[in-house]
Amino acid sequence: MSDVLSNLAHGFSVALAPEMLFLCIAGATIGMAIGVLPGVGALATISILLPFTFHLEPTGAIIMLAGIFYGAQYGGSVASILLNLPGTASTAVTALDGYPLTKKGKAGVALFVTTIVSFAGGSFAILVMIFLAPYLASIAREFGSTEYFSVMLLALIAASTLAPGSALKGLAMVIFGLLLGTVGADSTTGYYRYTFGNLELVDGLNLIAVVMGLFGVSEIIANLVSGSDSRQEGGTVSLKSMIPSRREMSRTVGPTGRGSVVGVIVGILPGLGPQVASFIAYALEKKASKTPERFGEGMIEGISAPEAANNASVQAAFIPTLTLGIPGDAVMAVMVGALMLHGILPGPSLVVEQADLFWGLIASFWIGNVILLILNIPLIGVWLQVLRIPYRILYPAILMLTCIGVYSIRNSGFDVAIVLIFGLVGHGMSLLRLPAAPVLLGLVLGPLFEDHLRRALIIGRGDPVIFLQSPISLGALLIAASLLAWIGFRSISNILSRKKKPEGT
Amino acid sequence: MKASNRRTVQNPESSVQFKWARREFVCGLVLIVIGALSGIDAWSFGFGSMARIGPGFLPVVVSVILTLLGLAIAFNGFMDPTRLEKSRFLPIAAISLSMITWILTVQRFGFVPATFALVVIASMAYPGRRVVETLLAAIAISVAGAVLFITGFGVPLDYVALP
Repeated sequence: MSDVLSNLAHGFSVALAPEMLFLCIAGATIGMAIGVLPGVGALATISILLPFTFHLEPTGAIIMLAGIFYGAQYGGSVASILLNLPGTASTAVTALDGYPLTKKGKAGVALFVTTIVSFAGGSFAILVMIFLAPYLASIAREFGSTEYFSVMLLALIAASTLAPGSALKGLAMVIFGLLLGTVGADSTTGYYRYTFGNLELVDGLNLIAVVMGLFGVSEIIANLVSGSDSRQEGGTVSLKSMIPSRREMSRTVGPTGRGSVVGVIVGILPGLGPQVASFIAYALEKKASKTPERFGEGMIEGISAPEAANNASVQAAFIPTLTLGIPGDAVMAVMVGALMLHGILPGPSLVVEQADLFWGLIASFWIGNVILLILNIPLIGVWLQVLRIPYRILYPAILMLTCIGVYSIRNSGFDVAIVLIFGLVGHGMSLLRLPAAPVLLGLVLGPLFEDHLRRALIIGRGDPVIFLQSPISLGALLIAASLLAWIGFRSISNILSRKKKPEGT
Repeated sequence: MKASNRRTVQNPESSVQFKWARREFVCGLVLIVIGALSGIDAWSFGFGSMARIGPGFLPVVVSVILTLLGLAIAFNGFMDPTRLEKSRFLPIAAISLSMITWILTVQRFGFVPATFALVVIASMAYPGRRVVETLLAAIAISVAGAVLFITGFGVPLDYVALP
């Protein structure tokens, strides 16, 4: 206990240093400003801003990235409440009751409640993280390659199958990501795989370039193709209109508590991101409510629960990412990628060896959340102005940021070409309704996955029975197998039920 | 039958669909092709043995799984009447051309001209012509970018270079 407190105190001393404080504030503010923009989700925001953090030292870089991430998450909620323009799936749930509140003239109250509730959810998750992460890390320290391989396999399968949408397609995209991860020189033999004689591919595909293509450029193309720049006039918000009545405030307490718990549980599990957390929290709240029929008409409960869950899961997702080195979703995959670019491999030893980074990051979460709480309210007027920038000016500016951002990583025009290629691939994928997030997870974990597989098989002298001999590995494989069996069962029963029903209904 | 199929397609207001292409089936086919091609290429990498897996082991295994998943999706989607949406040529062409131009000119002519061209070409993807607004935006974005990245972050590029 005192251990945790002294670690935390150390963390605050790291995160409150002027430079770190500045990076945290800058990250949260910029993240929020970009996250507010319609159609730009947290992942796109991070990928656009990622190159800026390369010049920083690792702790500063990750603190700033984390700030960008939760800033963007907040920003997305603002856009969905005021304009019904959710940037991400998780804030789409907030729009369900948030936008009706705006139409009723209660935008101010909705924003205020969102801010407070997000802070509460985030804080709860940080508390859980402080106590759980070191414990989890101490278990993970016993992991060998066998355990890592099986747990990664479980994470990959869970991420692709539990996310909303077709499980088969999710699985196919994780596999596609693994395939992309093998591009470049093989780590043990140095054999060039899928490089097609191109020396720039020897180091593998640049993760940032792939992210920017799949999430930045493809998004721009999709918006231009569908011509969906439908902007509604947002409500105006005065500071006075933001203060909720005591009754409204007390109505948020229960949903916030339930939402936070849902968020933390979902956030820790691999593969379940904030969107699942907010959906579950919303559904749960609707079940718990005495007036479920009024959800969707502007219920305070309908924004409190998903927002608390959303932010709790965002923070909780860092727990497996930092202690096991196994990211649960695409955003965490980018975080891991960013850490690896700085030469830090997230994993159980990070908690001890990079104590500055680990505890500094935790402390900065809290500081960043407080800053957002303070900033969010007076800046709402500014966000409304940002939302008025026409898309026809916005997207060329985003393209400029993308090009120079990727170029500056290693002064390579080739990487910018990779962005374009994956922008087109991503557009094709969205036409085929193939999810892009699992690709990133496969791409980031691919090389580690292969290394652990190779090492485990060397230890087992080529006998795969080794994966069944450790209890952790066996457990992970059993869960993974039952997930696969469940998908198989579900898709077969889908086919059968479709045959019974007449087509086209 | 045909009329009822029409009603099942998604986003009827925002997109045009192919008449012939069933989306889920096409999706499966695409994955089969990717899996097959990468698997064939990976065969020459060297499979190794189970005790010492070679560079081709994971790519081959993964390609086979991708092909099988493609088959499952194509099979599953064979009866699904949802049509593949058509994309539009202009946005794809304008965005591609703008980025290719930027890549080819940024080192030779400098950041400002390259970005100016990027903005002008990319703007052509947007319906309607606003010449003055586009030119002003192009100047503003390229100058702001130059100040931020070259002056601020020290990216080694020229502002304007004469070839």
